[in-house]
Amino acid sequence: MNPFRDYLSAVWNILRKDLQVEWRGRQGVPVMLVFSLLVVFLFNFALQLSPDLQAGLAAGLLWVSLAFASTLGLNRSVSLEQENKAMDGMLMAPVDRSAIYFGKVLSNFSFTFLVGLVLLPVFSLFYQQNMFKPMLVLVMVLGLGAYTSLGTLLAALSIQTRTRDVLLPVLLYPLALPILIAAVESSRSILAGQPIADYQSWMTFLLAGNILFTAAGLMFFETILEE
Amino acid sequence: MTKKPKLLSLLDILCLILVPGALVLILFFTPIERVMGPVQKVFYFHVSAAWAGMLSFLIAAVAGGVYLSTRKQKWDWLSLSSIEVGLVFGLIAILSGMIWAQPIWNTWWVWDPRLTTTAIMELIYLAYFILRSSLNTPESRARLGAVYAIVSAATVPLTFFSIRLFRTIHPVVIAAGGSGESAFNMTPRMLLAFFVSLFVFTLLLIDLVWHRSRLARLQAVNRGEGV
Amino acid sequence: MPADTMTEMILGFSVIMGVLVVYILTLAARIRRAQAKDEFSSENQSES
Repeated sequence: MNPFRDYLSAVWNILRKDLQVEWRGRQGVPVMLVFSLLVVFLFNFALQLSPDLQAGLAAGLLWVSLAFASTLGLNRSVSLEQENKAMDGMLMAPVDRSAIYFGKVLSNFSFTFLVGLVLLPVFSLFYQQNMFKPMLVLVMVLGLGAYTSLGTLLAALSIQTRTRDVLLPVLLYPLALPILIAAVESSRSILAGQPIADYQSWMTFLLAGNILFTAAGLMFFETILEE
Repeated sequence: MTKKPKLLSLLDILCLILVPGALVLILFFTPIERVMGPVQKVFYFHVSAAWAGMLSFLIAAVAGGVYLSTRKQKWDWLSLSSIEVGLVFGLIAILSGMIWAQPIWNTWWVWDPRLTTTAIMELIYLAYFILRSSLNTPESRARLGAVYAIVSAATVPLTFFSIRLFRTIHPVVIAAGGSGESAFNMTPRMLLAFFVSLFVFTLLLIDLVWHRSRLARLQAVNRGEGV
Repeated sequence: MPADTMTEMILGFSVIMGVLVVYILTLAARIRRAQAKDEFSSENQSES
């Protein structure tokens, strides 16, 4: 066995474990989904949105509900490990701690992406426009990838505090703002049917965000979990 | 308590002379801008404060990095102090910008990206203090604070890049090549006042951060944390 | 003809200097309090 294969299998094991926990308990994705729908309904009444929503508003609403719902999943993914001191067990395992980070990012990403995929038809139905566009799905992959890689890092950070998971939104939302701007702007262009050249730079921006936040996670995850 | 260093006393005196000196220079020796009138003079301190704020957040991130590799408390004090002083300068930049915008843009607050991101930066670094206050040991405060300071500073370029993509009505003061029509040209006297203000605010920043770090050390000694 | 924005200029500089002065005063107060505590504890140490 070479070290790289070991590393990948550690990542895969964490991801598989999280997926199994989710499949058996079904406590993450459904909660996030219901919560994101509630956000959509709240905004609908608070802002008196019309059924034929403009592309800009639909894109913004989609990302705000996703961003709010993700925090639930992110908090859960780390608080789950605090129960019964499961994290301590994981930390004792002879694997690089960044593998834990990668596994957690992948599972968080899968859950939020799943929520996003369910939201697309719901939005298409509610706001009478076709949201099923391959480019929009790609933006979701890039945007949620950057958002969850930053979010996993900050969730690990906020779980160390006395207030536990209360702190995560306060830490995450301002830092994730550029990612959200880029995601909303590119989604808006896609929904308005603009050519790729119009939003290409936003997509590159999201890609850069992915690289930056994943690098930050790799560098600091171990430092955060230090005892 | 160690004795106050001579250099710090010198800095104190320099700041006491130079800050009013720069003010006099701006008020009486710079020409009145031909369109905006006297309020344009606020710009010299506005930009200098913004610069000092950015610089101190950068210092905080670098000091955080040095703390993580050396684990010497003094670097944490420097990081913490820079962020506190940076928040003050950021507040000055926002408030003076608002007062300038009132007659020029005819509104106190514009959702201009640069203005908004400066405000977001203030929120990011306010969260830094919330994070610290909800941690129990000085060691975890320093360690997690350092990680947060570095990650936050890493998002600042992202935010600035997102401004460039977003259209902005903020005047571009230092533009590469052809600038927008909202930029204005500075006469030699204006340039002199501009650079003097930048220099004076940088000195003031160093002076304040130095005092604040000494306070942090004193407080640590008082709590019996040892040095 | 430049716009007459003298009041805004005065307001601007007073806010800038005001925030600075308030911060410096609170910093000085905190330093003084910490120093008083420091002297108190070092006196106690020398007695015991």
